[in-house]
Amino acid sequence: MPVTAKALARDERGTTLVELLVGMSMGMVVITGLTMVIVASLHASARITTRVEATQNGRVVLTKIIEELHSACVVPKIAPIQKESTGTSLRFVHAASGQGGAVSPTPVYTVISLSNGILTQSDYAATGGTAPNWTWAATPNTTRLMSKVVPLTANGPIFTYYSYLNGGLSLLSTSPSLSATDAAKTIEVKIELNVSPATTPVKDAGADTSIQDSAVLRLTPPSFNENATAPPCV
Amino acid sequence: MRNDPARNAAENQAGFVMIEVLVSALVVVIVAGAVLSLITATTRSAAQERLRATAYAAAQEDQARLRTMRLSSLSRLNPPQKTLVTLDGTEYTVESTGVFVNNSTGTDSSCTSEGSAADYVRIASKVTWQGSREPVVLRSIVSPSNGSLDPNHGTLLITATNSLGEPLSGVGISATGAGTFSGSTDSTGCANFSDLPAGNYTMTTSATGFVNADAQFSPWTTTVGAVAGSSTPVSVMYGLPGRVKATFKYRVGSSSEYRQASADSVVVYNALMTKGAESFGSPGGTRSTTVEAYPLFPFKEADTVYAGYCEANKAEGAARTTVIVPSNGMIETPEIQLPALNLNVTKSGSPASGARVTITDQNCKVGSTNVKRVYSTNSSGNPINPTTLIPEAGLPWGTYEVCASSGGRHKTETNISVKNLTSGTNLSIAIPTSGSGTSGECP
Repeated sequence: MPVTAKALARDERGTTLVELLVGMSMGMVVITGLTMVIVASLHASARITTRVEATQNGRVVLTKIIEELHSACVVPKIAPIQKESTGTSLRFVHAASGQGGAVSPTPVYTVISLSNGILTQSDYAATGGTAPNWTWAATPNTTRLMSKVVPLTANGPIFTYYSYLNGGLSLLSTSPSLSATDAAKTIEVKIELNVSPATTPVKDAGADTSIQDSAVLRLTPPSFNENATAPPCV
Repeated sequence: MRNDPARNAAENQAGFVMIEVLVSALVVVIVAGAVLSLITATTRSAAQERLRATAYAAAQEDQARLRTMRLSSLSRLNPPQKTLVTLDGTEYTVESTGVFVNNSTGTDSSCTSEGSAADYVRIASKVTWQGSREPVVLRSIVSPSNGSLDPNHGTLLITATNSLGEPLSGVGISATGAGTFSGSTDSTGCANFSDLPAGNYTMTTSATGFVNADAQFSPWTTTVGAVAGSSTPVSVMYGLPGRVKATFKYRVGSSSEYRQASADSVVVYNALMTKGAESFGSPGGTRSTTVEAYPLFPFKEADTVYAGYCEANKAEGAARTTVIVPSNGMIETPEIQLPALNLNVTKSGSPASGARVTITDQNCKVGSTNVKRVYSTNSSGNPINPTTLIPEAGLPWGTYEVCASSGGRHKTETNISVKNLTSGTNLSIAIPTSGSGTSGECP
């Protein structure tokens, strides 16, 4: 029988409703899966971005503090760490900014303290006196270093102080604060912080990052005699 | 109706939509998979970078810790001290190393910089964590200031090499004396013990399978001295023992004929042996066509090998040979020619068969007894090996006392020099049948 126009029209009748429904639902399944994957990866990417931001912020501040501690021996044989330093408040003398390489750098009395998650630095300029009995300005120049900072452990210290004892490091007590005797023999300061990102585009408990570093306040290795003392800035 | 071609064509195309959807879904899944793996890789590398940054901080902190340590403690951080640090929930392994470094070369205070004291300590902190591809390594130096090193302490630089002067790594070292130290040689064959109390030490070194110049297996003990304020180089040389298999021949009369000879012992000598020549075999015991000398130190220079047991047997000419002992191998030497003693034993004017012949080396003793070799004679009156019955004329280079006995009578000839490689030493002994002092067999 020859192909008629009617028969041809019947051939091009298209898809049935069932076929269309099945096709669409399969497409939906695939697209849903894909969307979930993309959303998950976006979350992961955002989490990493915030962590990187937190690390960067924290690292910059930590490096600043460490560099200041490294320029703390402004005069030989002084004790740069000052009494009344605590686990959340570091008091020390260091060379004023830009004077690290000077022959007799101008000292600055600095207090770095953590309060309500905000790390601030107060610099008291030297007004006179000679080492180690300088006199300091009454009013500090205070800057906010970083916010959203917490100790590694709840109510724990962010600053820990060490002296040299019998050939090794010995932790000094900061309860209630570093005594004048202990401050005079502090040769290492360890800083440990937990920093949260300044912005939180994604709610994520793991976005904060802990950073730490230590600064040694000794210029030479200790004596071969392990019972000898190793005071700072020697 | 079923044969309507147009309708059939339409029906044939009816199932295609499903297949198209399936294929396109597959394509989408493949593309999504590729994108997903890309995202995973990026995330992973970002995570690695974060771990790296933390590891770097841990390394920096370890460097600070090392800077507060005494130099003597620092220089003992070899092999490294390992500590575990947990930061942000990840466990990091920190390896702290301290090595005395020589200023002129900038390298580890190796044993090649003999006599020059170590100048400063290089401290290194290597941090690794699970899944770390490249460890984070921070290095720095600590220079000794006045008073940081004990003026009454010194340094020992121990070099272990093989006979070719190549470094031997992993040679175990331990010592007691003015202080104690232990360790092993590194890949350059060097072990550096700094800050040791000055004085003498009894050092024990060990390397499994190796021998020293005197062919003794480990452990070896030597006395070394550390001098206050300076570095003392100590060289030790060990090698895998070699083996030499010596064979022997003697010349028949002055003819061009050589016969296989037997010997019971050989001496191997090298000028570098600290305890003199070494003897192998059983002097006066079973004679054999080959004598093996083992263990021998594989000296670079050739060893001298000759038959016998004593320095007095030190032969000349073809009676000794030189061989380069292979390391951890065996060498068969060229034959050693033994000078011949052409002995003819007679009794009552005819060859004495079955006579006892003893040939005693007058200048070679084992303990307090001179080396004595025992023979029998064949029907021609010539000495033969009592066991193998093979005629034997070759003897180690030396001066001998020769005794022949038969039927309760003996005769001894002394000061028989057996040192002629060209024609041998001819000796005839006629065993007497009577006479005072002739009774009894040879000793």
